[in-house]
Amino acid sequence: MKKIYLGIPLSILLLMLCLGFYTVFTAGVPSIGVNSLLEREYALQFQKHISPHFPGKEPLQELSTFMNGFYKFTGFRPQGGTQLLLPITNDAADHGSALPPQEPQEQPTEEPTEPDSSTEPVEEEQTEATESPAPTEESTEATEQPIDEPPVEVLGQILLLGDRAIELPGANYRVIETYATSVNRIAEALDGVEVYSVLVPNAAGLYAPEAFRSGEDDQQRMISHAYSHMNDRVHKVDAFTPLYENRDKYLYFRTDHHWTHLGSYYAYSALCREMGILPVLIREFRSGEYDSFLGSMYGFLSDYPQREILKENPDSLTYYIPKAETSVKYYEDASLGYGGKIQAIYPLSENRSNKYLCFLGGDHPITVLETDCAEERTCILIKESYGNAFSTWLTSHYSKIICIDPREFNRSGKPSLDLKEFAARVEADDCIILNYPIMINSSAYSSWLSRLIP
Amino acid sequence: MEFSNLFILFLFLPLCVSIYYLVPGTRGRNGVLLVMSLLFYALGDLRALPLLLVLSLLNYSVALWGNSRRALLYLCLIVDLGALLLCKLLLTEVPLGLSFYTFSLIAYVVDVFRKKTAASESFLDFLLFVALFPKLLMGPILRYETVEKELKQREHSPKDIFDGTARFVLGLSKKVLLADRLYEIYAQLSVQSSNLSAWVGAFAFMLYIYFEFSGYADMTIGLGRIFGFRFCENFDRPYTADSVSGFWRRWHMSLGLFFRDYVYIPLGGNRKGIFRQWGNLFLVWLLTGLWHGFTLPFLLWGLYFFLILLLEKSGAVYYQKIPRGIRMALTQLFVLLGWVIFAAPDGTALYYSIMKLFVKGSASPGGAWLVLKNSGILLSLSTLLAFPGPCVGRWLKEKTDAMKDGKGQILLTSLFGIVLILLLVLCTATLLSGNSKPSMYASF
Repeated sequence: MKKIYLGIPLSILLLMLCLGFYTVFTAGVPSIGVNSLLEREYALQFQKHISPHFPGKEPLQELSTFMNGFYKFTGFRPQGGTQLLLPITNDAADHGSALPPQEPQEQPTEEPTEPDSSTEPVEEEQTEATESPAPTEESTEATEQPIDEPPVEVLGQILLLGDRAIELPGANYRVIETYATSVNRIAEALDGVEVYSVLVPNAAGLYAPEAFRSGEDDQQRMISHAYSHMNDRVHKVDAFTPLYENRDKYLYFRTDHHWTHLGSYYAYSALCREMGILPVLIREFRSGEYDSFLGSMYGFLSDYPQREILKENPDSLTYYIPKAETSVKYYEDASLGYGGKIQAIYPLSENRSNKYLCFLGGDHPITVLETDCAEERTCILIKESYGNAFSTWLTSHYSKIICIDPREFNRSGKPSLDLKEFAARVEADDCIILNYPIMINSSAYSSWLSRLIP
Repeated sequence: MEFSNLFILFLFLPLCVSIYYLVPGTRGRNGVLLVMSLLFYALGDLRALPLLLVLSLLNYSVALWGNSRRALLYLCLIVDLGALLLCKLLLTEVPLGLSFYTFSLIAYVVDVFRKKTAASESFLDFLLFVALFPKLLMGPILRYETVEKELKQREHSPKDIFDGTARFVLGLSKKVLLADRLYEIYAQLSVQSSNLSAWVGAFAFMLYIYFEFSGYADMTIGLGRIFGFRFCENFDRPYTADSVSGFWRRWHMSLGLFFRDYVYIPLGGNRKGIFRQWGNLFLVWLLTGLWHGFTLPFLLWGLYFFLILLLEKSGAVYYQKIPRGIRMALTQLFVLLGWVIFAAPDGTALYYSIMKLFVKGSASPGGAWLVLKNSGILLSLSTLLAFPGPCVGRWLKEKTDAMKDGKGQILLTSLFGIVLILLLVLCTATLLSGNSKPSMYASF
């Protein structure tokens, strides 16, 4: 027995030693600074460094994926109707993704396709919730002590429903009120600028089963709650109703957490209604299409065998090219010093899986769209990635649209931006703040929004 | 600095064990363990290393040269507790293992003054007792008297090395394959608002905290066994207890024993009348809550168990008449409610957690049903492993150990060895995918 008792631990020890040394030999010893020692992250950093070089990594990851199928059991042969729930953390709220800077390329030259007549905007009634917003007491408690690097918070869940994966935002009404307070701060600081809040649902608000669209999952209620805490300086745009009423159209991707360009068009139409202007009919735009789009939700499910359902049913992305002649530049800070040229609708190669990056090339700290629009008006669009698709519609109404991503400012290691000073400098006429429910439920995002006004 | 980390698993531990066994003699091996322990701590929390060294030196000196002067003992205790208190109050991140090793230091210095144990003459041996890396971060709260002899002379039998390895791998599996996944279920349900999600979430947390903490205790005891130490058990089938007092004799046993021996009994225990006993119990549970952190939920958690134990002791005659099965269920229900308090990060979150449990909200339980459907297998397996599992495991081990040397035992042990290797592969696969979270108790 002694041989067995010694043999097994010795085999394990030798196996671990060989694997460990082989990995470090292949990966090299990481140059991990004193900071990671002080921040208690040495072991984590080391693990991160050696993981890609671990022998047999791929089969082991496949094994992990197989085990995840067991941990999130949805049936022995997952098919349509499969339901899977996974938590999502504030990674999504933390930062956006963008294409690497590159030389501008040609505008896509696809032949314009015949627009579907059913995609014309429909006149809708204002919903009750947005008709009489109640002004509220200003509460700056949450914004006085901004969180620099926010703790991980679970913002919601991912629901895989057949061939559609959707984010289910978890309602946190206290955070929603903080968000509204942040919008109020902006509205009060920007004298002479009309401020519009455009809160839009995500796919869950339209396509989730009833059980996930009611009670605490009710996105219309989240939006109404936010609007009811915004003051009279803020124009509240009801984008939920037109989107909901047209939910039979392709408004949200099934494999990505964003809306389609068409989805953003309905929000644009609702904004025009609030502004008292006419939206440009969608059939007046040239359009093109990217297919084989497997988006962020497919990526989130990468460790789960159930994602094969999405792979077999990829999205397609239809884009609409601005009517106005538009030139676009992105900037790393508010000085607007050196701007890299990009495009409103980016040409993407076939092998670029994230097709949503075609809108402005993704998220940048500041993106400026200049148009030959007859109206010499400037608009500031404060947005996350939902605003990328949305921004292109504004080119018909403004000569300059300045998109600001609040996640990229006033944080450790990021440049600062004083929105009041900035708006005065660029002579902004309007300020549109567009967000979707994951963001309005994120305390970190609300904090970053609030920090735009020092 | 977790054991469930590829760097620790595949480099630090194998290197440590290899060097340890290459060096002859207990003194040399103690030297290896001390260097590796200090290195382990420095890699985990470099800033806190001086504090560990200073407190160790202070307690060592006071015990050795204090000459039973009480003033010196009190001064030493004030510094130990003051350091713990200040760090918990002022720092966002408490130095690693501080709550565990300060209690070991306090127990040591008090025991020396009580003449229960002799003062250590070698500072290096004493420092090894304090900093021994397998138990440094998450206990158990070790008493010097339990390792005193082993620090001078210890045996390393092949059976101990095998048992230690097995215990370590089983503990790692509890943490990586079960606890981390159960926490995911809890986190998922915590953002839902239905009653069902609140109850299922609380149950998932109950399982999670058991597998995580007892898994870490298994890893500690296993590593200790590999290095020739026999650390005290910290868990003894806690979820099979049929009373809350019984639960606390089986859960985090070293903490309960510390408070019994160094707070409850010195204050008079149950020998000075019922009111004094209640007062003593109140203090013990207040301190138990605060030991975990200076937050309202931890304070309330301690007081909650004080009240439950008070009720249990007052109605002991009637309580014992209830059938055992019902007593067990009642106990676990009270324990589960305790975990709801424990899990809340602050008072507001606690209020909402309680409301979700007991007040019917507008939310649909659809999400909870879906989580139950997705995670039904994991929850069922974990329930089996947490409730009757430890009893079955103990029975199996006793049977296997009682078997005489022969083909049967060789076959069983070899099969068990294969299972251990498979578990290690599964843990590695999970860690490679980045699916492991830091342990909750490591932050105390």
